[in-house]
Amino acid sequence: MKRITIKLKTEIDSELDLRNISKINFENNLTQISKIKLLYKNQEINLGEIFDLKLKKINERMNELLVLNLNEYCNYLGWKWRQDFLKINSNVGSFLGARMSGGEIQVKGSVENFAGSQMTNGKILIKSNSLDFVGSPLPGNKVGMSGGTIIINGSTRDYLGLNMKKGLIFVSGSARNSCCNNMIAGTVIIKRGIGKYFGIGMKRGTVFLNKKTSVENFFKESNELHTSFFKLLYNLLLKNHGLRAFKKNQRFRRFFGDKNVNGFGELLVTK
Amino acid sequence: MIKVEDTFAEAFPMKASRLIITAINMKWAKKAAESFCGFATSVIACGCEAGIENDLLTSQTPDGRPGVSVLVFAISSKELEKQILNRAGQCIMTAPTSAIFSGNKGEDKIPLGNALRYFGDGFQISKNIDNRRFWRIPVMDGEFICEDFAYKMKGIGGGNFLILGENTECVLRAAEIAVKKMNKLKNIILPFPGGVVRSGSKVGSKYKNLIASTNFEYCPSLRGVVKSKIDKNTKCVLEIVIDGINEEDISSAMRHGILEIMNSQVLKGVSKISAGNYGGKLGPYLFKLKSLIA
Repeated sequence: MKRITIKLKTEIDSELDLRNISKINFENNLTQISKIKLLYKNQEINLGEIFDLKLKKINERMNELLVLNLNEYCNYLGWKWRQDFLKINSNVGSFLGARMSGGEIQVKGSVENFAGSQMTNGKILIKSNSLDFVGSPLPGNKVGMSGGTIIINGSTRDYLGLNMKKGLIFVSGSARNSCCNNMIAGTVIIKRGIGKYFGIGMKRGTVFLNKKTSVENFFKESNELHTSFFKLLYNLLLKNHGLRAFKKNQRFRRFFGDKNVNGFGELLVTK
Repeated sequence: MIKVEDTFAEAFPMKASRLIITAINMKWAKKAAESFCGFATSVIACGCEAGIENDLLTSQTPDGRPGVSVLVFAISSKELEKQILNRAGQCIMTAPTSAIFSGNKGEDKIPLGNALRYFGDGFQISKNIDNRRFWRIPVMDGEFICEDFAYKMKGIGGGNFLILGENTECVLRAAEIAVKKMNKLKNIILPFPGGVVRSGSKVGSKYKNLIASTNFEYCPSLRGVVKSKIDKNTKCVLEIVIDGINEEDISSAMRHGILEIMNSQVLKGVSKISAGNYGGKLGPYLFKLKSLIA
């Protein structure tokens, strides 16, 4: 397997569109890769003009693209990412891993908006925080993420999992307002608090919350649920991602909603 | 001295699948699995052959609960699908606290939760975690968790050997010793009651509607009446039938079973080990006894 390292040479102070980085072919040489077109300040430039490139053979299971020194202006990284491992050693801008369909993206810093929008498969790991619209539809679209896994080790802001259709979002910290709105299906685990307007228009899907919040207006309480599904989920998350989503023998209160739209969305709040 | 005949067992290709059944404790996992494997001794009339492969520790099951691994074999893919679905629905879903998962991966799918979910009458919930889909079907003790699909794989059915001896007690004891040893092996099952079969069969019958009938060559009571393969001192013959995932697994099981009998110090009266075959006409897999124990 190979590792391609691309390091930003200059300070970026305007929008940089990195979506073509996903076209990097690990079979190509560095000269070919350096000719990939990027959009900076609305002008087309070659990747080699602003990035230093290095190629190295590695003993890993996936090819690896390591991107260094980015900042919040660097958007669309991992756009339609299909396979291989994309590793970002800094903060990054919006649309990270949007429409990705496989592989893995790991960000050491924070990300801006629309991380994992409309992704269909693969895994995004954000080691710090994220802003709005994680796993949501891209602007102008109706359906959010429909597969894959997003793990945020920090917190996130508004509209988490908007119109989400499938997949898993795990947030170690908290989410803010309007999360899981119009959720169609999928699983969201938020370990800390949530803000206002949670789960409005939620039709299906499952949300785990660690803290009782004011969701009763939209949700109807059911019985405490006894199911081996919690153990299954706990085991799979621990085994595949090293996550402890909740305590091993955690008990949950169960709510259904949004009752205003006759939704069957499931809200599980730790007891 | 127990003699091993210079003959071979003849086995044939089958379709197989492995399932993992879990429950709140091993007692209920076993009850569910035993129910699932009930009436699954022979494809002649049961539709499939099934058995418990081994017990699983909590660390070996997807949901971290005690469980068992079950192997199911059938002649055709269609029959395998039908048997697994019916048995999962009637024997696993009905057993308290149980859950069922696929135990192998493959290209060919067998609907499991994908079909059973309709029992949820619209209240079932699908969960897709890391590209594995599970169904949560509401039942009266909580939820029945079921993986979306099981998967087909290739298998081999009909590996066997015969134990011949002077009386029922010693032959049965020998069979028990062999079964105990063979049950510790993976990738195989012994589908008959206690792993042992007394009604070994041959293909066909004098009655036209019967596809199998008694293997008269090994019936002590018919010696002298038919062309028998047993001598006058042989009063009992029992057979151990083995289904496995591949040739090596069946060979290994047969070797372990036969050697366990031969090395046992407590067996007296067992005279011979033989095997059932159809002259090489039934299946492509031939297990020569002499080579196995060489």
